[in-house]
Amino acid sequence: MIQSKDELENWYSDGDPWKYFDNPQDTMRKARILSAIPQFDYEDVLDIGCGNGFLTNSLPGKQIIGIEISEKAVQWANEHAVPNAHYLCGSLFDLPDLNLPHMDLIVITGVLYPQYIAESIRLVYILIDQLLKPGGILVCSHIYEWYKARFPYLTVSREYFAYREYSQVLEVYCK
Amino acid sequence: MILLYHKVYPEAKTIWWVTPDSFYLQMLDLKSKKVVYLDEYDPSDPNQCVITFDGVYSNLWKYAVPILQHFGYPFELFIVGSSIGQGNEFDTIEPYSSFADKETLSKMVAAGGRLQWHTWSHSVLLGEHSEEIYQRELVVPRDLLSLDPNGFKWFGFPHGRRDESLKAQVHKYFRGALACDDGDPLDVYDLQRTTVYENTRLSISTVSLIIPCYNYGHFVAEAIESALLQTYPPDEILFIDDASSDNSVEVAKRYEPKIRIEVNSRNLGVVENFKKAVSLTNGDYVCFLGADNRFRGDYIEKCKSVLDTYPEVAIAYTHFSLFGDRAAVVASAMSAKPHPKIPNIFLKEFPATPDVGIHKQNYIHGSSMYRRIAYEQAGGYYSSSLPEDHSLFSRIIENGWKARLVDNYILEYRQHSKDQINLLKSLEFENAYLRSLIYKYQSIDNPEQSLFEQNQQLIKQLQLLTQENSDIKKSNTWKAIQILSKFRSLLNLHNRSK
Repeated sequence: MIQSKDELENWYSDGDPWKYFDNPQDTMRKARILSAIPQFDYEDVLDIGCGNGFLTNSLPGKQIIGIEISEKAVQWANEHAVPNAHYLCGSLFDLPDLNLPHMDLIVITGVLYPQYIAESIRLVYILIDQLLKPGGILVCSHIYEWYKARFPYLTVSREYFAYREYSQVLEVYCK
Repeated sequence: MILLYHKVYPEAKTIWWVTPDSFYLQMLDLKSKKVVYLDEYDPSDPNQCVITFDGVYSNLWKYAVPILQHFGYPFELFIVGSSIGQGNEFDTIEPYSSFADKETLSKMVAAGGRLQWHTWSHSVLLGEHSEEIYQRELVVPRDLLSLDPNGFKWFGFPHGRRDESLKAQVHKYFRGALACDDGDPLDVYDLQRTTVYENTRLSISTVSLIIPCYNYGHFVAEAIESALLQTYPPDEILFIDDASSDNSVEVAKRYEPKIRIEVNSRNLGVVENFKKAVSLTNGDYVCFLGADNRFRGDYIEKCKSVLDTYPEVAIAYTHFSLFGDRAAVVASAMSAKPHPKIPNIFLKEFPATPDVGIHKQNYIHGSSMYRRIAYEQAGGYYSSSLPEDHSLFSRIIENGWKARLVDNYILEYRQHSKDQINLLKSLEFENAYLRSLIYKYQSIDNPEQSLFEQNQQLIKQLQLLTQENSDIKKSNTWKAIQILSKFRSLLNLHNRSK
């Protein structure tokens, strides 16, 4: 079953419900993701399903946009945003309606799981492709056990690392 | 063929719902056909197809329209006038779903949709009715007509129910009418539609993917996962191990039954192994993926589409990218160019229209997808002075078949040495696998004490193993191996440039 928006709103009554900010495992995860991003000058950067902006605020890029379905999370994130980041409310499936610019870098972490997208990964490939510039970079990091996706782009790197009681698979693609 | 859909949503809640994943595959299967509007539809042409939706439900905008636009297909939307912008509470059996409002309908028209008429109230109109009722149900109100100046020429019978008196009325107002599965394929006022369900597949062909392996244990998992996570899944995946002495088969077995495994009792060598592999599969199209390489996510989709579309083409070949610690060395030897952005990845291009024949220059790599019928006609793989794939493809082309380029770098071709560096990646993956086992076994709640204890012991062993793996990676010896292997590749480069 897809998790309802109400349930997610409820979850985000706590500003940091996943306890990212206190957990050294998540500090390490963030460091690994950031160091995997190829070093280019990125103009427009998008973080899809950014939660409270734990990773988003540290991303490279001139203008950073974070998209999150929970209004509470977006509000919290905007209150804690770095100057070049701002946060919008919307789901992955709202992307075509948000009139976003084309992106040089798209980051998607902890989102492509059955409770959020059910059976629509092939649609997700299309929605992200509509937004990513040719030559743009896509970075995905997910819990390996729950993640069943492979974007139709060139694989730049793929690494696995221990995370909480799971493993993360961290992928970098180039369109 | 006319397809009939109702709702598209990430979960298939009843038989009237199709998920975007299935919808995508169904749309992909239409690529070799001509998708048209009803206005252009010629029912006698088996190559034509129309996509229709009855309702029309608002979930199409988010979950179906981006896919239709991706393929550039036109589509027909049969709307019920009184339902626009409403919910489906009247339909007590179906889960809740809202109908598209006027704004969403307009957006769908702009995206390639055409509005058609499915009555005002979706009532069954059998027998004789007053002129007033026919007027209300069959005449499209002016405010709706303005939503689509090209639309409303076609009628959909509510619930597919119709009789001669209704058909006579429909004749007055519409260019034609559509029934459901019990309609007539050729009668323009009673056109048959095929209801599409979650499991419906419209493909005209099947694909066999073969992964031959000999001592590539380090890479096998990556190759298999790239085969399993294709945008278009192959109909069968055969992993054939040519008597490896390493852990190749052990790794492959983790993916059963999604893949089939064949283990040769003795090493057959490339030609015999390939022949055996093809004989063990059934797909109309065949392709090989080396156990040390990987397919980009759209490899099967792109190659299959070429063979589906061009019946005279027997081989779909592609460009490829080179990666791995020896990519730079190999790239200069085969004149592949560096990737414009990504270091240590190289791109090898092949011509769409080669200057010289296949005998002089092999522009078709061994992972190219080919028709089984052409393979059999050519006598399959056999030993000759040419490499086995070059020889096969030359003979297929000599027989009059065409080869066609897929203009994408969708094969990722690993260039590796026997260095220990590969072990690092594979240990990393091995750790991920072991941790997933730990996670799985920890969550088994077993009432039997003895089993529980056995389970705990296994978990401990696994934890020790992952710890050992991590320790190896932290050790100075490990670091030294990595540095040495970098030296060696530098030395290789240096020697080549001399």
